[in-house]
Amino acid sequence: MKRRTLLKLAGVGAVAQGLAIACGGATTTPSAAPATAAGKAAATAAPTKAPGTGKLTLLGALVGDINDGFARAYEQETGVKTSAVRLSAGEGLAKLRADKANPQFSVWLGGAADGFIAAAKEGLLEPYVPAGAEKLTAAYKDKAAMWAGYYLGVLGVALNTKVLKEKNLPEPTSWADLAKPAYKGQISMAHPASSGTAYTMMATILQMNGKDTPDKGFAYLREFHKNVLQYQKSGAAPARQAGQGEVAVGIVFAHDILATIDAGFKDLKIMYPSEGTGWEIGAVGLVKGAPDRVEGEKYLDWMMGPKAQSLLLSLKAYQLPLHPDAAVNPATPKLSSVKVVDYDYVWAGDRKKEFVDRFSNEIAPAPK
Amino acid sequence: MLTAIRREPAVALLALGATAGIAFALVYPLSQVLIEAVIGETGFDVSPVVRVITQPVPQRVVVGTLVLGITTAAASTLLGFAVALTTARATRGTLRSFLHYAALLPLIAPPFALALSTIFLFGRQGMITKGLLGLEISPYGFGGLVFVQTITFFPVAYIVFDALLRQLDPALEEAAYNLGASRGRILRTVTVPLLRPAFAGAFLIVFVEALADLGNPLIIGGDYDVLATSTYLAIVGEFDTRKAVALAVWLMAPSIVAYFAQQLWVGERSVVTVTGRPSTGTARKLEAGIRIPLIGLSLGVAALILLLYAMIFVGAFTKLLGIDNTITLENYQYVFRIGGKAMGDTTLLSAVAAPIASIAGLLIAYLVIRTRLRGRSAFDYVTMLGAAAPGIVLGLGVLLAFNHPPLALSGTAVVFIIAFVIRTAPVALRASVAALMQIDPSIEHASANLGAGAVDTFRRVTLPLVTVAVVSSTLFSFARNMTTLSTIALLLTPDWRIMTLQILNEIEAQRLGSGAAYSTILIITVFFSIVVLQRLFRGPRTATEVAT
Repeated sequence: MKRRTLLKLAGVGAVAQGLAIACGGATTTPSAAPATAAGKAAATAAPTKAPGTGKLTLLGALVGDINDGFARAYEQETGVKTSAVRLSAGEGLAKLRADKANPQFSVWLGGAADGFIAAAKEGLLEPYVPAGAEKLTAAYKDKAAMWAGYYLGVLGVALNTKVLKEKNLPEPTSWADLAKPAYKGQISMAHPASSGTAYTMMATILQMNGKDTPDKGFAYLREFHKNVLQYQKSGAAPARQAGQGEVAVGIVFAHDILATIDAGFKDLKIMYPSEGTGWEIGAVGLVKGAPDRVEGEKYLDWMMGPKAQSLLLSLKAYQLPLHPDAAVNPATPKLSSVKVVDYDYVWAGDRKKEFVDRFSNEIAPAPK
Repeated sequence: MLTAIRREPAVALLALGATAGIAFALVYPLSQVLIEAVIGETGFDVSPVVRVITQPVPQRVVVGTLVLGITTAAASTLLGFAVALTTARATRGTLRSFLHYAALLPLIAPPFALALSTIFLFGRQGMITKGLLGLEISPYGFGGLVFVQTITFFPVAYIVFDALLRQLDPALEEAAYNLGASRGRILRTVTVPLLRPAFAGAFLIVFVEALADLGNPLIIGGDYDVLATSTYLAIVGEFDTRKAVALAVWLMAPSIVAYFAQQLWVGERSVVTVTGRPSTGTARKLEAGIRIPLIGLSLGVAALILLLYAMIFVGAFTKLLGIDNTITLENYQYVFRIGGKAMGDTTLLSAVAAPIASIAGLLIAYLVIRTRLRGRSAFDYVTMLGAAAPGIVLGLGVLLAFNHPPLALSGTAVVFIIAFVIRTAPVALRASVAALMQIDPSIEHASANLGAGAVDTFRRVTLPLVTVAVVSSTLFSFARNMTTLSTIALLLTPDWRIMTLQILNEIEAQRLGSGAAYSTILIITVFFSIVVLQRLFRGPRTATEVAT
């Protein structure tokens, strides 16, 4: 009972702070509405939050170092004892669901926003407007403040130039090329059911072919499928398969391709299909009923800042930070330098189950 | 006699304890997920389970899974038998030890390690297939899967045969030999029939393990879909627990059918070979005509295993095997910098769980084989569910069962230990069942007639006779705990670090080198534990030794 009241108070304070900073131009958060009056009063009186527990647990989706890197940097800066554990986006969501009765983690550090959209629908997340979220374009954050974006990733195509040469295959330059019979058995991608990367590719194709005519997009996927060697579990695995020369082409996020090249797979190069490509928002959110709630909120505030997002550069991650003042790796692909489709991830998130089911039943098992 | 044992209060207590233990650690967690398969929003509803078998796509996956399971189990059982025969009847000394340890090596297969090594060696860019032979072979699909799964699982069959062949009283074979039978004929008409429980047990356990195998199909499955992957994808990708459980039901059903089939096949036939009468003979070597092909086969298998493992070690010391072969220690520096806690935690949890699993297996085996309790075989097949359930489903069940009061244990070491124990107790159970079936109950009866109670008899007569089986299954359990991934993925907490998850992490970050470095540490830890424990409990103990 006591704990509840405390949490509520903390929540009010947090919303208040968000509003205080947001001032005029911020989007309104539905969850904030009832607390507005109290919030305004609190905002002027107490800009600092109630003291936290000094402990924080992160469930992260980004691969090892990046996840740990954020945790270490935060601990150094604030003295809050932070531990980070990594599960892929899909496993992370399954974990949050199963943990619902007794959550183990305070913050979920994504990973693509579509997982957060699904989690919010199931009531696994707590609304919170982090300080600085007002600077974000509306498209990069949740209307109900269940999550906020901190990076952007562009979908790319990894090409193994050595294998292409060996096989006398021309370098593909478009999605259309990738469905040509010449590349039979030479493409690796992940399964859209387990990988956000693969689903982004699928949703990109479906949107390119008309949101109202998914059949057209599926017709392309059926042709493309004939060239796929194997649907991998993890989104980044195709970059390795292409890097090792087991296939010539891997469908992967550009930041993963660049990191794979950094890991030593030197025959890889990156290609952006000429018709345009899709993108994702990496999001962060508070776990509902989580331990160390106040620390979680402070962490989210920190995550929105340029200092945290600049870590992407020092951690050799090629995701594009969303904060305008964050340092950016020159090699990181930007929306201005790559042709992107008008990607509607809300549409993609809403219809994910339908499309993935259809993919699992119609495309993946089809003969090649 | 038996009535004496039956009247023992200790047996009743044991039965009660086993019931409570199985209900708490296995049935309760499994029921948390399985209920979802039959209880829909509108009440009792089995339609999701039925849909799996009536729709063409899942139907194809079910059939494919069965075909793969049977093929792998048959290949692994035969290979396990052949290698065990080689180490027990065709070789001695160093060669025997070499083959023995080489055959045990794949028990310590860190996730994905063997599948990745196979791709390195035999993949499209494989060092052997392409580099040496200039072939372009694609291992992705059924063939590659059978290959990797057989290498991964035949050691389980080997352990079962090895324990029994070493305990087989040579006098029986000796008698046949003295009557003029050839070694080949003895093998066919004496040895193999006596090993019936071993064949059944080995086939069953490999079949069950192959069905639940997730790591290999993920890496090398190609187009070949299996239920374990579909179940996994349903949970982590589609977040559809009902579908996952419906698939899991079909994954567990064949295991249960196989269990009853093996019961029928072994039946009530007596395969007692440990009688307590002093046996003078030592096992003779097989004739050259059988021995030489056996040794050849075993050496070939051992060489293949060593080659696959060598790739892991070479990979750990190179920048990026196959692409940048510069020798480096970076991988180890990195792994020791960030992985120390994971190594300690994983070893501790695995070591605590292993003896619990093998003792639980032995006690349940004792209940099943040595008592006349009504419904005793239920202990057996309920325990087997722990191995038959897909790891991710089992993990989910454990998590759901223990994350709320009165048993809010999630986040503690207890949940890991529970998961480890229920996952590996079935193997301990099979090994103990096979061992107990070979011991003549009259040894125990003699002890009982001399006034010893059931507890004393068990401790001083039965236990020493099944030591080999118990030690083997403890080792097996430890190795499996150290290398399991899907069972514990969802159990992960901020406080306990698990090595296999770190390995997965490295592989997903494309750092094959540090993934390999982790794997080598895991392999070395487990391998030395095996060697040390085997030295401690050296060699088979015969009934005569126990008696003196």
